Amino acid sequence: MTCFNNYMLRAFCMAAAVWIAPANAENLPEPVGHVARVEGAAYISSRGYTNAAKVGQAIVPGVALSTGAEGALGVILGDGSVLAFGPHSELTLDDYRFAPALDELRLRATLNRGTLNLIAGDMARLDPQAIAVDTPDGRIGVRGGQVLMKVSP
Amino acid sequence: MKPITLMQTMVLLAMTAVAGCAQHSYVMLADDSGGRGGVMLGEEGQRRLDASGQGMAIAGTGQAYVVPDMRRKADFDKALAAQPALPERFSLHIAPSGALDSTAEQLLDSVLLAAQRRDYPVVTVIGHTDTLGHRAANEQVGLRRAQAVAELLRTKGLEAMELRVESHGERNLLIATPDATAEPRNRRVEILVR
Repeated sequence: MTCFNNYMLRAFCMAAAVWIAPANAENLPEPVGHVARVEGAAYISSRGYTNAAKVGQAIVPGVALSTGAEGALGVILGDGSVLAFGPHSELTLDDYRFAPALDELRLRATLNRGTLNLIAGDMARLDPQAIAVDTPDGRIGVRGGQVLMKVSP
Repeated sequence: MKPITLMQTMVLLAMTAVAGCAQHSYVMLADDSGGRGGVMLGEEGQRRLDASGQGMAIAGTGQAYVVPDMRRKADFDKALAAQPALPERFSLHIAPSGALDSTAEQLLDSVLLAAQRRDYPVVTVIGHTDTLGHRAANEQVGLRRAQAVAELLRTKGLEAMELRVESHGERNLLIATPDATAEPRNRRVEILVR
């Protein structure tokens, strides 16, 4: 009986592995926001691919957002936070989670260069520590309101 | 050669100061959102910006200063112009019977209009409760409230790129209360159009 159980268990595990693997490959991460405004050269990089940003395009954690000369980009996230970029800017959305029911509130990003206009959404009202933007010069904690940042080359 | 006047020296100094600001990376608080906004810098967040118009170098230990309008314009005009239409929030209150109040119909129409004004509207319907009862049960109650309102929006013919239905249960209070407190104003459904 034990042998049979072991066999069944393995068979189940194998079946599960075979069944789950393709499903995972298809499952893209849940969108946490979308592109709401694009002008000129603006790009989204995800999983090593870079494409021109389009209005309506989904944003997932881990993406890099960038603009070229004369480019502008505006993004709205799930809690109503807004990120808008001037030209020659680059930001990575390192982590984003807006799930008040689970006490999970965080927006972590890295601004590598350029200018960012950040309007804090509901996230900041619920937890003033939730929003932080790292820059080469140090971390900026945003307790709320509208904050402008410039990272010089 | 004409000697440089005091006035000229001051203008030169001022220009150098403005140019100096352009070199470093800095942050400014453009809007303190009625006192709720602010910025924290440094290891322990000990360097702070609390008032609109203040700026500070990101690196070092410098103090806050007032960012001149010209500087702000030169640095951030384009990032400010890139700002999309801001999200709009609507709030529906739930009567003790669980019913929506008389203004609900009008408010739902406003939601539909707000969605129509956008090219790719994303509508999030979020259910909220007060702190009376168990946390997990309240999450379910909030979800049912949100589902009911989402259904009304669908019936009215809402067209959105995405319609999300969520519950924050008792974890997103409009009026702060201790646990196990009945507070009608916290029983609501919020609709975010972005």
